[in-house]
Amino acid sequence: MRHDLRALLAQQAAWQRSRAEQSWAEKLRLSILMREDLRPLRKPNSQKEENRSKSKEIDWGGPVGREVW
Amino acid sequence: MEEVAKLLNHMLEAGVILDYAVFGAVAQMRYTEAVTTLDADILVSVSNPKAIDVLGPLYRFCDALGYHPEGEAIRVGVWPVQLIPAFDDLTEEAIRKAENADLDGTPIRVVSADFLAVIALSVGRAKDFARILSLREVGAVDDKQISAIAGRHGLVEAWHRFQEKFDEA
Repeated sequence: MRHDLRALLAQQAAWQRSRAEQSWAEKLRLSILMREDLRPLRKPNSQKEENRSKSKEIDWGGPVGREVW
Repeated sequence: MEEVAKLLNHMLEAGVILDYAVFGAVAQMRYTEAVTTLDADILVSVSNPKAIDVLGPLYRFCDALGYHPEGEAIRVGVWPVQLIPAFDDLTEEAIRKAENADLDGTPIRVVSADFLAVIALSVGRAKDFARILSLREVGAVDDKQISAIAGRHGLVEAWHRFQEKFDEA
C-alpha cells in the first residue's frame, strides 16, 4: 500500500477513535441530531407499506432492528 | 436519555420490572462513535414472562406517568423506547450480567460490550455484524469472552463463520 494512503487511513482511524472517546451522553445527543437530519430522507409510512406488500422478502425485524444505518 | 434512565429506575423500584438493561445501538454508543438509531431498545426482566399481555402492566405504569405508547414503543422525551422482555437464555444472562453505568449523573444498567456483540451475532444481519466489527475496532470486546459466551449459548458455529468472513488470514 502506498505510504501516503496508509498515512491517510491511519489519520482517519485516529479521528474515528477520538469520536468514540466522547462521553456516552454526548454521543447520544449527537445520534438524535443525526436522526433528525435523516428524517426528510426517510420514506413516508404509506410508501413503506406499499413496498412491503410488493416484497416477497421475509421481514426479520428483530429486537435490535431499529437502527437506520 | 436521562429521562429514560429515570423512568426505568422508577419501574425497577416500583417492582413493575425485575431488572432491565439497555442494548442495541444506544448501548453500542457507550463504546463506539455515534450512530443513527430510531429508538432505544431495553431488555426487561419481568415476573410473568409467559403471560399473554406481558407488557401490559409496564405500558399502563408508563401511561399513568404520562409516557404514552407510540407504535411499538413508548415515547419518553425525544426517544421512542422499546421494552423487550428477555427472549432466551442469552438475553436473560445479558440482563443479569449488565453493567451499572452513569449517564450525566443518572445510574443506568447497560448490557456489557461482550454480550452486546454475542446478541448481535445471534441476530446475524449485516448491520449486526457491523456492530460487532465496530466494538472490536475500538477494543471494547474480547474475542475470548465472545467465544466463551457464544459457547454457552449454541453460537460457536456462528462465531466461527463470523471470524472466517471478517478476520484477515
